[in-house]
Amino acid sequence: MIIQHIYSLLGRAAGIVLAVLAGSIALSAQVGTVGGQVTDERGAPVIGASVQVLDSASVGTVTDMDGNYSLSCAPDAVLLFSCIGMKDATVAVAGRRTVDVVLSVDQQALDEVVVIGYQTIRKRDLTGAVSVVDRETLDRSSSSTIVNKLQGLATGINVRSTGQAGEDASIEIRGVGSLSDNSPLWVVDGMITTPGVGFNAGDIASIQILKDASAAAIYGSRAANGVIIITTKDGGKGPMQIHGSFNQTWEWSPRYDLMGAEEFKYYNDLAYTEAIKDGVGNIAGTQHHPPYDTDWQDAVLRTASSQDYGISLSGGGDSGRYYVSGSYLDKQGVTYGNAFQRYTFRVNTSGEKGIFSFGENLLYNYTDKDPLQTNPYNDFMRMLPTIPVYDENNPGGYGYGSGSANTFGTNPIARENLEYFRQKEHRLNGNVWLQLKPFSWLAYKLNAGLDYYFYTADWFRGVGNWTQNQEYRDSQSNKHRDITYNRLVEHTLNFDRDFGVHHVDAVLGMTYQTYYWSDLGGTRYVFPEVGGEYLTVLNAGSGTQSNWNSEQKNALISYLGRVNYNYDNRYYASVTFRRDGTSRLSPQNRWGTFPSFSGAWRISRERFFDISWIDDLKLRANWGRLGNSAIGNWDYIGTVNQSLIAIIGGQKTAGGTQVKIVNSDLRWETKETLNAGLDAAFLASRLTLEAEYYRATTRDVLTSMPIAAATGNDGGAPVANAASLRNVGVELSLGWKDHIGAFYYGVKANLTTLRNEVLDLGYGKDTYINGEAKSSIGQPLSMFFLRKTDGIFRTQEEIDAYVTSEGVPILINGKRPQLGDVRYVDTDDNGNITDDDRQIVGNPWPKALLGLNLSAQWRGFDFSMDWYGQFGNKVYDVDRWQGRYFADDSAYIRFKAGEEPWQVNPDSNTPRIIYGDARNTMASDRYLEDGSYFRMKNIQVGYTFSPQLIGRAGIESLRLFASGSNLVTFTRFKGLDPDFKNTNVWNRGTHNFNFPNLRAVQFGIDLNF
Amino acid sequence: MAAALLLMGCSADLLNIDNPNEATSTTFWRTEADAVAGVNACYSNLYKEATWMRWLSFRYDLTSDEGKSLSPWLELAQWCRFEYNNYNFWEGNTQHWETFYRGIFRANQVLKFVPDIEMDAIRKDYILGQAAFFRALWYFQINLIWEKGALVLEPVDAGYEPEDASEAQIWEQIEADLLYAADRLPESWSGADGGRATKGAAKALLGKAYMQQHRYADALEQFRYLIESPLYGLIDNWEDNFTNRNELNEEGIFEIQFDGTNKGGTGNDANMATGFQRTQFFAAGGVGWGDGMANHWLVDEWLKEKRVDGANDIRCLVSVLYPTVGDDFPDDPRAKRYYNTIDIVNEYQHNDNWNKGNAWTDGMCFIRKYSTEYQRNQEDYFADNNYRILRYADILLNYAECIAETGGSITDAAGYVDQVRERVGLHKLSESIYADCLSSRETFLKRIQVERPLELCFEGWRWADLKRWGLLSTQGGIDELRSRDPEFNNFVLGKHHRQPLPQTEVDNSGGKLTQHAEYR
Repeated sequence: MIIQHIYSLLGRAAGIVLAVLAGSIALSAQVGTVGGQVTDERGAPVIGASVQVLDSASVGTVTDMDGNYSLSCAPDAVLLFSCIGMKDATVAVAGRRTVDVVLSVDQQALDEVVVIGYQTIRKRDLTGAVSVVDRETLDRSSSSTIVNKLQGLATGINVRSTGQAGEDASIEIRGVGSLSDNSPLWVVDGMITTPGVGFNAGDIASIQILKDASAAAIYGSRAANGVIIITTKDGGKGPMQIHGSFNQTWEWSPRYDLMGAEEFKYYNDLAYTEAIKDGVGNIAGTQHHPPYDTDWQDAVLRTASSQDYGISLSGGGDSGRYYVSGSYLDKQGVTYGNAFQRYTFRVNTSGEKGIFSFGENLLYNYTDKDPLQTNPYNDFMRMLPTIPVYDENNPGGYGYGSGSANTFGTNPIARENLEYFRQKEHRLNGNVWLQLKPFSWLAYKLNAGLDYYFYTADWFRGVGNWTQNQEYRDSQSNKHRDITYNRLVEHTLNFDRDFGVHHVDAVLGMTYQTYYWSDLGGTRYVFPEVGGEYLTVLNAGSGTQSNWNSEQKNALISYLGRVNYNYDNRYYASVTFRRDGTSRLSPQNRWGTFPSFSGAWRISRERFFDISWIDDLKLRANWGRLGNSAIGNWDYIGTVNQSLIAIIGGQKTAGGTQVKIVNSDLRWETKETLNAGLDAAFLASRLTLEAEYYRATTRDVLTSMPIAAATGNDGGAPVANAASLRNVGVELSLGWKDHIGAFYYGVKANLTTLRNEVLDLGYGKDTYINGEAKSSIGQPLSMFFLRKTDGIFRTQEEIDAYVTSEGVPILINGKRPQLGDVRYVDTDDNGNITDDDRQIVGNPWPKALLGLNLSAQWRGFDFSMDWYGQFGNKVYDVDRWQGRYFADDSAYIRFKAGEEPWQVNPDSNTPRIIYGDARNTMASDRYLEDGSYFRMKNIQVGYTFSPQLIGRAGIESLRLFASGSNLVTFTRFKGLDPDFKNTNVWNRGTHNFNFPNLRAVQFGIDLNF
Repeated sequence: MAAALLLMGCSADLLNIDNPNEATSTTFWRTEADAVAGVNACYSNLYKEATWMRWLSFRYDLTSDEGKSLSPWLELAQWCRFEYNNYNFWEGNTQHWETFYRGIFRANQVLKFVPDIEMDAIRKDYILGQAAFFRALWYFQINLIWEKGALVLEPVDAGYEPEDASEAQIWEQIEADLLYAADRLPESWSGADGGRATKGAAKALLGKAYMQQHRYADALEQFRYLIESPLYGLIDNWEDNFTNRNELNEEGIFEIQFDGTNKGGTGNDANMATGFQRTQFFAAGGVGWGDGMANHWLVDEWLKEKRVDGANDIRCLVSVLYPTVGDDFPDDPRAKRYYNTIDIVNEYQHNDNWNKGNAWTDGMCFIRKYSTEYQRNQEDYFADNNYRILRYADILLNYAECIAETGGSITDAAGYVDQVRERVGLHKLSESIYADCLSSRETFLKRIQVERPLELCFEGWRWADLKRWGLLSTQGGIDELRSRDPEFNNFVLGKHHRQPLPQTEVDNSGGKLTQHAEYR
């Protein structure tokens, strides 16, 4: 039986979990010792099965890697054998010394249950696209935020990370749908909230990602970017389980290969000499370089050490269950002046009596962040090696640019020291639910939740400078406090009943959610110093003071319903409906309706279906409409700013006017998705396949689209129903699991393809240009739009031939090129290289995303490896542009052999370097690089001690592991990291000193008592 | 549970949430107070980096032959010497465009909504007149910098795409707005309204607009109002045109009133900066950044003639800082010390930012006009001395020019120039070493081309003057400018007399706003 076989695998993997749920420790001496082997129906050992002496909850053990167990008990004892996914077996010892047991598969338990929003259904009954993230895989990542951990673990999601301590990564489900906000909706234990960096991933029991319209439609208006549902852990029935974990992580950043002072001076002088030769500007001589040799990366980067501690207690009986956890994360940033600490405390309880049941989930967390004041990766590229870190001649005492080391780069050490910034957040998040179940098929549930934040930000700046030419500023202290209340009330009615071979389940509900935010802050100038330290409380300040306060509010009312029907587990149909009203749109436009329809056919259940090597085959199709209104609270109403100041008659006088232009007829953004999918299991379920095709059309995309400056708009681009887009793609997920003797292994590959096309642009435009990118109707969004180049001029003949079709000599920045200059293509053939010569030169969108997870177990050892990659996209590399910007002083990226500039190596592809003349450094396709990469996100080796060995120490299970993150990457990208986060959808592929992903090694221990 | 019960009532009214932070545009523009606030907002737009507060001086003063920039911020310097490579350079181009049109938007709101407000008719006229004055002021700058733009004459919606309007069309609008303003504005303001735009300010600006179009007779007529008005005159102490000691005086026709108490940024909040920021950029290295510098020919011109009392022209000492100033003004402490603390000769000898590695006597010539060294030891972004956009001395010289241009009496014209000269202790032209210039219209006009910068350098009018005089459109003119300012070696005739339009604005205009052909 294939099922059994799968199960033996599952059982193995779930062994530890099982032990937690069912185990208790047998230490008391008894009459005799009983042992034996637990196997499945195929004879494979069942690992981690619980063996308990009935009526004696404290006596028990779990089976080892070979399915063997041994325990002491009375000769007349009755043993209970249990294992998740298998039917329990009760066997009387009856005086035997050896009791071998065969467990059979529990068909019910095997069916993975999926939370799909207000309902749970069996995964096999799904008619929409839902990814279930394997929590064990999730736990393998060393990242401390949920989003980071998700990368590569499910199809259709794209996670882009930032390496800063205390900053979250971004996640997109099925590419860019909306332009304004591509983050999905998060639902944590029924509460609509964003878990963020304050969330302890150790509390997660399961994660489901609802990707298509039918899956997400129950969340209607906010689900256009998909929904991520998190369920936190609950206590299991049985004695208290104690789980402890400790992880130690060391992280470090990749580095640029920059020139040291000697090399820098050589090339800098070369660029200046060239400028003198060409008569550029007022350059009379090379710089009088200061005699320093600072490695700014050494000064700022460090190997960061972080510790993550977690403990949880859980358990329960028939009428109540509990899960209590606490965690502490102490994370050091890899750059100077960046740190993050997190404390979390969670209590989940539930209970039931008769037709009533109730539960609550409560999380308190506290985060303390010392964020960065500057982007050190930009600073590395702009601070010259000839500048010292400290310079007592400068105000504040730090080195920075000067007439002889001319840069406006920021000294990151100075900035972090002169500016104090601390962000602290207390958060209380939780919900309480009460369920009334008068019949087995009908339940009413009230769910009420609160998300409360108290945030403080303290900022202080002392007198002193961190860059050349800073104006004098008095010392300043700034205190900001804000609170957020996010409240939710939901009523739902659930129906679930079989009528013969007909099954119907349904949900009907209404929800009301409100949001309130208010801040209060003040600032003062001129603070005294006492013993070399500033007093920073506001009362200590004597200069100008000001304050601020504002409020944000919104509300959402929804009505929802869904009916699922299936006939004999063969034919499935599902209808979902949601109607949402939002305060963020005008009364005329605020209600939206979001339906979906789906159906599935399990062919393998048909009588005519008789292909022995196909175990399961299901076809699915669905259509649905989702919405998005993730915009500001009053974006549809023009407002008058009445705190404008003018000096009239020598006095401060208030002015008032509309400053920002708005679109008052904003409508819901809608996304219609057609999804077709197939689930199949082959070859005794060793091979599984999930395939999806989707075609999503997003209309009236709500986004802030920059508008003409001639409108006079101020205060940011207004939100508009600005575009329509289509995303088409295929997702394939292929898994293989098998074993060779005691060696168990699994491979899972998932592939996502993505193609987007602009159908329509805001304000009736055909094209829209933003930075290095252009969006045009009929093309993918934000294609690279740059000057095209054609190598460099190597001979005078080539220069002479650089003319228009009419023979007019082509000028670059008003000048004829010289030997070694870049040859730009004169696209408009008018003899001048300008912005009018830009062309579409590349696509920032990967053609495919690939995730690969390998896992293996052998006796106590486990091993896993996760790879992730994207292929076929281009990246515009601003870092390299800056690192090769000889037209101004900059730190320089070291030339590899053969790469030296034209003056040094006329055969290289690096042009002539000239100070003060940007002809060879203009934005062009020269800085466009292949962004494809394939990276080993994680590799991990663990060892689980056998229960026999550690049981004597009172430990139920013990696992040690070591893992490494981002240690191997295959890429041709020349920058620090091809995996970066750029949230500007209008210019998606530009890499602009983005924080790289960190390299990390981690050691951890997991312990159960 | 209370919320749950509320939900049962589930009123859609729960979705009606008013913005507690700001009034909405639909409920504004109802009262006289709204109208006053609206016009005050027009003034508030003066406190933006891209006006004379900071960057506009780079356009007019440093790009012209009066000044130059050796800023270590290379692109900033390049935009003062006709190296316009990145048309989106924020500080040199795009920010000007954006700021001017923001000012126009504010004026347009007043002009559109205030007519419907029920209020005293005269006060309403005053408000409309001020708004029209501001709209013209901003369009004036658009024409000086780009010679084209988009004519936006009422609030437009977000989908608006700018469309080409020619220089002539814009002049026409400026003329209409200033005639409208001059018709409505009061002759003067007092007390808490001091320094608001007046009839005189509108007429002065209109006269200048006519002059730029070579409509000298029309200009003359506008200026005559100011010349004949008892409200205008020259103040005795010339220096106080640039200090906070005697502001809103009879010489200041229209001033940006600066105040240093707000220490915020240049945004739109109650703490927004209202200080003069260019002083920080122009003060010499050590105090400021020396981003703007004077060309030395100005010094040579001042020193060519002595005052009636035999001393050198004080305008030289007050306007610029140069290495040998101590020799030329031996009795003035300011010729020895800069910002009260810096020994000028010593600094020129030892500070590389001052001498650029050359002999100290060949050191840099810095801009001193508007500096706050008379009251402070350092600069910052919060200087409080008013910037005079329109000054009566300027109008006197303009008036003289118009008389000469329209064939009037050179002697009469010289009388107005003499008022300016005599105030600083110089001889009348006829008694000066330049007496010969009175021999012909041409020589007189040529003399005005020198008299003006000696009086008005670094006050934002030189670029307009060079344009008007044709020096930017003839080879002879460029040759002359090159002899004074080598940065004109980069000047390409037929191209650099105007800047390229911001490329972002052209890019996303749907082809309706076109780039100047020479910049394509």
